[in-house]
Amino acid sequence: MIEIKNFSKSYSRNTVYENFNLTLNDGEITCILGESGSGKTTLLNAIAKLTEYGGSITNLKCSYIFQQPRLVPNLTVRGNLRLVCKDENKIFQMLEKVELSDKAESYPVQLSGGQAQRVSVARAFLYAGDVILMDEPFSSLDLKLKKRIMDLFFEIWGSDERTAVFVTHDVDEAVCIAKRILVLDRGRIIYDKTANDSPPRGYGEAEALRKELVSVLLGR
Amino acid sequence: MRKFFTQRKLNIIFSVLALALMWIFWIIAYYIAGNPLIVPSFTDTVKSLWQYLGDGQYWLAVLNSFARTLLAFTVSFALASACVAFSLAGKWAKALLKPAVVLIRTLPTMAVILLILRATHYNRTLSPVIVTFLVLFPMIYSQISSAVEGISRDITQMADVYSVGKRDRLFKIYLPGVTPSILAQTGANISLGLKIMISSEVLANTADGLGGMMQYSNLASEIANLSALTLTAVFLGLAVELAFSQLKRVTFKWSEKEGCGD
Repeated sequence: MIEIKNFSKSYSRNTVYENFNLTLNDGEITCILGESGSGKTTLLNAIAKLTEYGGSITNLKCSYIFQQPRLVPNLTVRGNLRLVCKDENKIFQMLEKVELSDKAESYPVQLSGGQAQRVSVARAFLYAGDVILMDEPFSSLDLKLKKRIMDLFFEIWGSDERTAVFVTHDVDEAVCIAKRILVLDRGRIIYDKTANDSPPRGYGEAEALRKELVSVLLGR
Repeated sequence: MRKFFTQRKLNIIFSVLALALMWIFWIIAYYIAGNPLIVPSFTDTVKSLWQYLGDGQYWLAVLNSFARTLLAFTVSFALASACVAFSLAGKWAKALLKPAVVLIRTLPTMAVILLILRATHYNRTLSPVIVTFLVLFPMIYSQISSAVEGISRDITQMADVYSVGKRDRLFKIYLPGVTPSILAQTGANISLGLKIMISSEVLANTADGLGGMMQYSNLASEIANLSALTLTAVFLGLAVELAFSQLKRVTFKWSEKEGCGD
């Protein structure tokens, strides 16, 4: 469980969060929706201890799938994965799961955007963290690639079921992936719903949920 | 026709054209000056150079000047690396180092040679090394410092999140991250160091170096010899820069993009 208590964060004179509280349940994928500047990434970075903040957040080991893959350019794919896991068998199996066994000795510059993001997903699951954080990891991908990597994520997550917190401004992504959806606006939760069914949902399904979210986002 | 003239071939053709132009300018300057003591002829210079190539003293002088340059560069590089590592301790460390680096950078080189000659009891071998070090050190310190600061913050953040160990950070992220840019500048640094070394040897009258030979040729009005020794210094500098640029190309294949697909 991730407990966020009295969380406060300001940038210069701009207060993003003030006495913000949230509890995230184990084994669930929680999506945090909101427009740019609503504080989504700030919250994720605070959980990952990448930024200073006021209040308290449960101390956890985090995996992080960034918007850009952030692979070390002078290390091969295998070398990048070895940074987080020294078990060669696990690396081998994970490379097979993400369908990049033939790219193990390639450098990041030799990979496409989708391939690099798959390495990033592999890295996140190889790391023995308590939670997976994802900051708009599919935003730079086209629709077909997005679906492919989302399916891949679920395939791996299905056997892992780690707590995941996923940030996006894309309603369809939230509807596809999340069990629980929060909408943030200027550091406050304006919508919080846990679905009865479980993800993944097909792209375009769960129309009612989608309409509800759109009306919340537009109705601010 | 277009296929024959690839970019690489065109580059070579233009470089050769530029060299040919320089040669033409030399001949024109020779005829305009009309005095071989001011501008020696190209033919006399080449003859002198050819004679030097068979002279053991010449090769010893080349070796000594180059070896001293490498010594000064190595000491500069080692000390600059240590200072950068120290400066990473915090802003206070960088502030502590700054006055010394600025002072060394702004010291007037020729005056320093004379002072060091006196301080070293006219050690004509040591003083050029010290002067070359004083010129190279602040430059290399700035280059290494910039290279370290240039390591992507995204990557260091990723390393923070995934708790990448210090050893892995140093040997797999930081050192490989700074090495390409440092290697790219090393050739130019050594080439500059050679120029400073030779200038210092002229002033210090270092007998067993290229600078000393140049000083002797100048005093004896053997301008063709002086010109030949100058060409030697130029070729040496070019060879060093070329060697390091090739080394970088071969070593850092991870910076070259190949075809890919998803």
